Amino acid sequence: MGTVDITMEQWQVQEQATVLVIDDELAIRDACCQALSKGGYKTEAAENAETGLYRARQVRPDVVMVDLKMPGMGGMELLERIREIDANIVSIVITGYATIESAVEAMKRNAYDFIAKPFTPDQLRIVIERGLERRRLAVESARLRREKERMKENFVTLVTHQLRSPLASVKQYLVVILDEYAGELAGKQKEMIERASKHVDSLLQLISDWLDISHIDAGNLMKKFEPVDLALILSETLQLVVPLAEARKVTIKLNLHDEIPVIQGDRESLKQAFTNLIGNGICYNREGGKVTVSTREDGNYLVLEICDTGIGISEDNLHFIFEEFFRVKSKETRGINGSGLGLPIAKRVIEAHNGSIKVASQIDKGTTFYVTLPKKEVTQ
Amino acid sequence: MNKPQEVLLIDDDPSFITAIKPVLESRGYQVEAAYNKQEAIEKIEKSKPDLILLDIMMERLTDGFDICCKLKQDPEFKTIPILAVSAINKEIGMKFSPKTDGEYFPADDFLEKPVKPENLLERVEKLLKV
Repeated sequence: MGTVDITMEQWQVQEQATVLVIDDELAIRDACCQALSKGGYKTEAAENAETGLYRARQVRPDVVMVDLKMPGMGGMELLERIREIDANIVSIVITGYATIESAVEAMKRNAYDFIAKPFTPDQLRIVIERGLERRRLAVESARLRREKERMKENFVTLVTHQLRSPLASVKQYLVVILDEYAGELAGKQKEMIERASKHVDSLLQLISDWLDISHIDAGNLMKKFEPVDLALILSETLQLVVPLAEARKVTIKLNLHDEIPVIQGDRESLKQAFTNLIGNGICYNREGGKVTVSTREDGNYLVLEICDTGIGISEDNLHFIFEEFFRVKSKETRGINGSGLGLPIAKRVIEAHNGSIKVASQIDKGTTFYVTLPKKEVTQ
Repeated sequence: MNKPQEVLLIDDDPSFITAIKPVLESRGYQVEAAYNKQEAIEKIEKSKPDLILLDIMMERLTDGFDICCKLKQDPEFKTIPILAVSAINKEIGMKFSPKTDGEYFPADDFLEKPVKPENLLERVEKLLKV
């Protein structure tokens, strides 16, 4: 597939696991290798840290047993170096009774377990088997993580290039035809092209929502955080939704309290979250209805209420409205376009800001969304 | 004005060119098209168009940038107004509009795809007046 894996991690645990024993005492090395061979493991041995490291790079063991007390490079450093080769190699420390403390220290440095001298072959095999179990889990979860990431990347590329571009081309044709630059439209042609064009619009909207939601994760957003003025964001948001409100004959009221505190956040994504929430209040409203946006403070939090006088959401549906692609299907909602991603996007954005979002609704009365955001901590 | 003004469309998507050509022709512009960077450079050097409509992402991501920067650094061509047109916008995580990233992408104006005909004509007219 053209991709080259440059990481050194292994993606599979071989059927016959390999154990590398690094110990300067020949007796221990031999005893371990013997016991482990009998247990069906492949064994490798090294008499000092340097050789051990070299062997570890060569054979890629699943488990490494390390004696902490060796001349030259000590066991502690060796543990770190092994980890650099492959973080998923399980290290087990061999220690004498007197050095439990250093075993604890080793475990802090990512050794998985320790075994105290003297030990029986059975004890050894139990520790190794436990270590291998750990190794299998670590390797499997790394593989899954990688796969998930790759799918996500592929998905975004697919959506942007393979879907969006041709659709934008189609839309471009329709726009030009509708404006009659390609000749006059007769009879029902105009109306039909208009409808086709609207459908293309909702597909384009769906794609852009989709892209948005795949880009929102807390880590990503956090990088863009800066102190933001919520009053400004809300008034900018309002400008975006006013045309929609006018088309639906819904009035919007902004009820902000004085001196809204600064919060730490990402302007664009907050604006989008509010647009989606207010837009929702407009779309699921009735003619002559109202959407009221108000703010208040609650301890260290800022609470934003978006309250509409719309059709409301039934108890059954209320649990699902933040789920991706969920849409309430009823007689009242039939004419309303949407991707089913507006509220999930809002929720993700708010949660990425360490906030929360709640909803209360009454059928035929309306719905209120409560957005809670932490105020920016004042640095002393 | 006797001689019609020439607009060069540069885009690797033939659909865009097919769709936009009649719009520009309706105002009497003479429309030429180039479908890649090489062809674009050749046509510009040969006929020195009055205005260029430039797609940003073509075969290679940077083709649009390259053409734009090259022209704006060339004393002979830097006066040709360039109207950048692209489907790329903030949703894809990139911004090219001169308002935000003008210093990196020295186009004279920017339009998002799909383009509204009146919008396009208005911008083109404005750029040609300067």
